Amino acid sequence: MSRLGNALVTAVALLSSPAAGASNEALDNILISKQDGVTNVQIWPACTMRYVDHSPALAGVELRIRVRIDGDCAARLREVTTEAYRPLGRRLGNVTEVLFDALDNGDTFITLRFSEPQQFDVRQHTVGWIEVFVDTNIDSQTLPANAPPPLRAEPEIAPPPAIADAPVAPRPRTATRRAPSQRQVAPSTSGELVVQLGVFESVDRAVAALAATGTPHFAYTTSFAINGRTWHGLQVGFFDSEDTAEIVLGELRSTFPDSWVRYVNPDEATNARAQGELRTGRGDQVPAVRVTQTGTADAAELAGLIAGGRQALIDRRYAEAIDRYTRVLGYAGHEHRATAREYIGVAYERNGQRANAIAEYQAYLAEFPDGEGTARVESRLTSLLMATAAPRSAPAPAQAARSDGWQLYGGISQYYWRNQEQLVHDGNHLVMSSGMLALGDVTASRRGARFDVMARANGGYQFNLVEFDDTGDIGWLSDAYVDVIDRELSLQAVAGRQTRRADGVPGRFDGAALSYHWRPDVSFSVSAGFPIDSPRFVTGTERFFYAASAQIEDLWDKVSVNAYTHQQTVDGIWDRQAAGGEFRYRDDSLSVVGLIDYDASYQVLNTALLNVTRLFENGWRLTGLARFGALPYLTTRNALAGQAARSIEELLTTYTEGQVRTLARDRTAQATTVSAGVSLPLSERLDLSVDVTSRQSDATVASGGVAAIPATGTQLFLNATLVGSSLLRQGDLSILTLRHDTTRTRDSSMLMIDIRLPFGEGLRINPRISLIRRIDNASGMEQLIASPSLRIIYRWRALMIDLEAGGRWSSRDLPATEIDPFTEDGTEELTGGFVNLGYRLEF
Amino acid sequence: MKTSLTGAFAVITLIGCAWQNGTDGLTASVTDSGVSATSSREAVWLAAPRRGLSAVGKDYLFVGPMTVNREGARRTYLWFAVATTIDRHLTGAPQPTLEQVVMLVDGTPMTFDLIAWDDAASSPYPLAIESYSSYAARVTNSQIRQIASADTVAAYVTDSNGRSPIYLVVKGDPGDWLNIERRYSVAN
Repeated sequence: MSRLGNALVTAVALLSSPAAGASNEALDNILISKQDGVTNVQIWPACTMRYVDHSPALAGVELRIRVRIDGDCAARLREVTTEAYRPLGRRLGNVTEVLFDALDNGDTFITLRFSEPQQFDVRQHTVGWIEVFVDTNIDSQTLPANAPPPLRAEPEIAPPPAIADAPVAPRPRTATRRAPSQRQVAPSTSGELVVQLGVFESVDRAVAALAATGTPHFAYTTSFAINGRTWHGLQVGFFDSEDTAEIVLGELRSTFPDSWVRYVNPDEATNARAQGELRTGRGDQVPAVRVTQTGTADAAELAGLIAGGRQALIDRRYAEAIDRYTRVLGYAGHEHRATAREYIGVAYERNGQRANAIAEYQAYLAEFPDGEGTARVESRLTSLLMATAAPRSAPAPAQAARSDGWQLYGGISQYYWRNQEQLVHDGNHLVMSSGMLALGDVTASRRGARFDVMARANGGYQFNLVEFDDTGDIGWLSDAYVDVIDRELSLQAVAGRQTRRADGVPGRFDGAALSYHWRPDVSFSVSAGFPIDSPRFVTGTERFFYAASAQIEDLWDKVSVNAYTHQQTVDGIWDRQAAGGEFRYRDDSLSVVGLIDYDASYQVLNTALLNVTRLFENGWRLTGLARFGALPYLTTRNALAGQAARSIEELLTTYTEGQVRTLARDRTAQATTVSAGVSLPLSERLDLSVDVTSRQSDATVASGGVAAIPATGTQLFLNATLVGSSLLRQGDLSILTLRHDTTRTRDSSMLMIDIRLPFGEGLRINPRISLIRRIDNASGMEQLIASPSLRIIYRWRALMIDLEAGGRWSSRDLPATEIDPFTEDGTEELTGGFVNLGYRLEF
Repeated sequence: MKTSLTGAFAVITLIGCAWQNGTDGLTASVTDSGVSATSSREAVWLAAPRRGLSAVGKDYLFVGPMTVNREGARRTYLWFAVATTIDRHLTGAPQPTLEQVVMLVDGTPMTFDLIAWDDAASSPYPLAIESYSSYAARVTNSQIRQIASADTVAAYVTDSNGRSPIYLVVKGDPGDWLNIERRYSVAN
């Protein structure tokens, strides 16, 4: 369900936040909404990230989501290691912060920290965002801080004991039982109590065992079915009082240990008596009891009326909506009254019956003064009253602000960093990079009776402090857009610099997007604009795209699909003519995501991806991924790779359009990635995940003066990660990673230990060390690298201070051609270090 | 059987005074007419995940014993309430109706003759999740003991579609019910 759908049909407190992080590169936006106690956190990555797994599986104070980032995305984020976000509305889900971590080992995590243990689940939406569901209804005290929730380790439900295996000793009980009286109970066919001697899948042996007891009481059987499995009850009766029945219970308990006294309803008693005594052979099985229906509206009827009213409202059949909500309000004491009271007012209002609408809104406020929708209803009522009182005059600013008013929030941050290395034997250091980074973001939002408006901008400026480096300073603008939702027309429009992953649009662009929600689960979108490669670049008009998509969600509650077409030109010729779609299936234990993107003009499959996750009852999670397609995405602009020309227009002065398109194909390889993994809980505090990935890319063709790139051969990546929670202190996180990569050029192995220690509410200390060994396959030379670091984050109210410092030691064999007089032993030793220091202030 | 205790329970409008007995874990509510319902402090929570509808959505079944004293006539009931954290509005699917509850007491099914407890104001237990319908089944002390002393308790809740997902205990302990059972065994 999209944001618009949520806003339209449900009472959602929707808040959005800029990705207010240190460098604000990895996550574009984090949207948080809450409904019925379940908080939905939508994490919008800045580039393509695929959900892999998460841990702990169900609950904890910290949720770690492992994501896989594609090659282009990895390249884009290569300088991003850690970002911290404090999204607006985080309190809705008891979220304290969201972290993005790209570890040295290639693992990438998005971590949600909670103020108290939460139960959660994670999934990936079809259009790319990652959704986290936080069930805030669960009492946090019943949840573990870092372990799966205390769902009782219920054993498989065992069949009842076979009665003929008597004598069966009664199971030990924790409660004492009253000793049965030795008083004899005379048989009777009257009374409303029976002794239930047990429930069995096959009752014959129980009947035989009962016969062996010689009890004189009336016996009969009942039957009922659960999930296609039929059970049979054996009863003796009837008794006038519990005391009397308990005497018989005591007499028979040695034979029937799982027995109890219960009441029978008159129908069962009448049927049992009518069928006769079981032991005479005339007995038949009496249907077991069911729920007695009442004359009041049942939940299904009410829910049906509510759903029908909502649909009628969406379809603008206001009279029908009013009728349905009126029927709902005819029943007292149920949970749908607030919804019905609010939306009957909306229906009246849209139907032009303002007086009725005002009356309904006033009734709502009287009946639900602290209701979830009270603010909305107040806003609508205010608007109606103002419109009724002074229809020709604009509302005063103070009054207009009643529609929730404008909210303004954002932050500024500054970072200084320096990274230097030096050769051990000569002592001269080299500053690899150094600079000052200034970032700012601001968001203004306003929720109204009909329109929700959000405007957002964020950008930064980087001062280069490296001497003799002529790269210069860099400024960029990541987002600058206005987002308007019209609930009445079910439309959403976004205009400006934005990032989009629907309609086949691969990322950031300057332009506009329009979405229409025809039904709650069916939507259509169109978008058009100028793609941009990096926010650091100003808008270029050489490329233009337009795209359209249709999306259907929650088919049979489990399936979502979308389909799109994306057409893009560059300097007047086709850059990309793609069509594609995504399929997503999810049930309790299986998740399947399929994605395809095909370029019709090139007749090339850009991407075919299948990602399967299977979750087992014991907490194991198996994942499998297969991806085949172009690398990079095939667009005509790929023809520029290796050329001196800086634009397609310039290239077209040398080559024909056909030749340029051929160059583009020649620069594009076909790549295949297959991976499989398993993650499993070893204990309440330890999770292990192991995965293996095979990647292979074909060679490219030499043409246009650009040399061929050889095939990569099969590259293998093995990874094992052990994650421990609360090992050293409550709420900490310890990650041990082993990784081995085998590629055509080199093999490398890595061991990394990463520990995050919380101290109080605001202080986090993060020591980390990685040890790497690389072997160059061509020369056989070895390189060893050790990189310890320490990061300290302190947060006080709206201020976050971030300090990170680390060292680096490297030793590598030098090829004979590089050995100089100062490295006579043929080994080059490097030492280095870095420091990052910054702050972020939010408002 | 089609019976309703609506009329009987209609008098149990649990308004007016209420007190909590801090020593035995019981909560009692009394109406002006002298009708009282006594229950243990907290209901037992059972839940069934339904990820097909919502990732963390669950259907809940709350269960707890209560003793209703109406003009001196005391009866013990097991109170059932159903609630959900699943947003079925989005799919248009109705809330599941409750057709049958079978508790699995140490693996042995125990059926109940449910009657609608349709006065929301008379809920004997405070619930963090609002229930959309509740029921009661008259039970014996023997049944309370059987459940309270069981090592494992679960429940099958059959809806109108005939599906019977299993609900597992996620909060509370039926063992606490022994308090109320002992109290009224003594009183009897």
